[in-house]
Amino acid sequence: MEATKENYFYAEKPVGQLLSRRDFLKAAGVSVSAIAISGYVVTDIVQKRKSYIALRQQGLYKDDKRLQKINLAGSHQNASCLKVYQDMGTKPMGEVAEQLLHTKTYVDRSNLLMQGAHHG
Amino acid sequence: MANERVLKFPMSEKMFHNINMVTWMILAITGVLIYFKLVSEATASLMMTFHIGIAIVFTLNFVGFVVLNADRFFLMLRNLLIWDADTFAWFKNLGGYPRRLFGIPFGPVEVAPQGRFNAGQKITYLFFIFMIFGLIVTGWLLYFMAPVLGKTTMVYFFNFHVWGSIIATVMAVGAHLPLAVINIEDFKAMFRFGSGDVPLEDALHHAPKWVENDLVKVSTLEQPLKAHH
Repeated sequence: MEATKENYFYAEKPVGQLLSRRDFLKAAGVSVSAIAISGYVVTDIVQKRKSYIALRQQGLYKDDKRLQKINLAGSHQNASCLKVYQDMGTKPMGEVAEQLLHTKTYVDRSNLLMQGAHHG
Repeated sequence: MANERVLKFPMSEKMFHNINMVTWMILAITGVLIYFKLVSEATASLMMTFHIGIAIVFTLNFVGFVVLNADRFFLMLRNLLIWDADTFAWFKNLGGYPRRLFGIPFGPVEVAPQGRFNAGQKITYLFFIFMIFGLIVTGWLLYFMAPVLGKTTMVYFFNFHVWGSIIATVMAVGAHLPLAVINIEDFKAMFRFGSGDVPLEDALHHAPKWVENDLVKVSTLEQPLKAHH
């Protein structure tokens, strides 16, 4: 009988026989390390970022409290702004303020971009 | 001896390898087209949809192989992590390939006997596995967790994803593929439909320690035929 391509006569021993305890620990060690290290890195990054966000939030609340003490919790309470509105005879969201301060259409200001001036 | 054959790639490994190869190339091509802006914005957007869709298959293929064929995956890792004196001795003449392919008389003529994988394959395949894992992790993090991770981390992950995959693709196409074609019996075993077997002579030539230590005679000539029918 002639051997066909599909025939094979040797194969690897069962994995249980080839994989010693040492081999298993080595392979498992590498696999677990890969998962653990990448898991740790990602968790660490997310945790750090969360702490930055918490710190920033804390700072903003601190600022708010400080300004609330001097009645400056919002820009509409700013004395200079109030004076501008008063001088123009209008109020925030008023008709004149809207005409003067609100943008109705997009204005192309790309001509104002700095064009890489050379300073000698 | 002439008719004796060795099962080198079981079906599970062939399936993993070939699905991995096809999906990898689609991911590499779509990725390059998008990253280097070789297509219009609308096409790039479509390519990205393909990229994500194929990435699902790529990920499931790897995870499926590791989970469903944990024994084969562990055996592969075990074979890749055996670094004995003969493995290091392979570097003295780089497996004789410079002499054989380019006629460069580099190192001794005799090649140190290798196991299932030679030293060059061990480095390359460990790198490939690392990259498959790394690309899956960074790819899905880029897709799902961009706002959580922050810009700096995203830039690092993005660069790893882009340049790591480009380096691995160059290695696969520039070294792995030509060497597989040169070792044509391996190539045929991997890509033919059916059993992934190679002639025993070929296995003895490339992997004598594997034949000696890891193989067992599983049948006589008639038995596999009976088993097949």
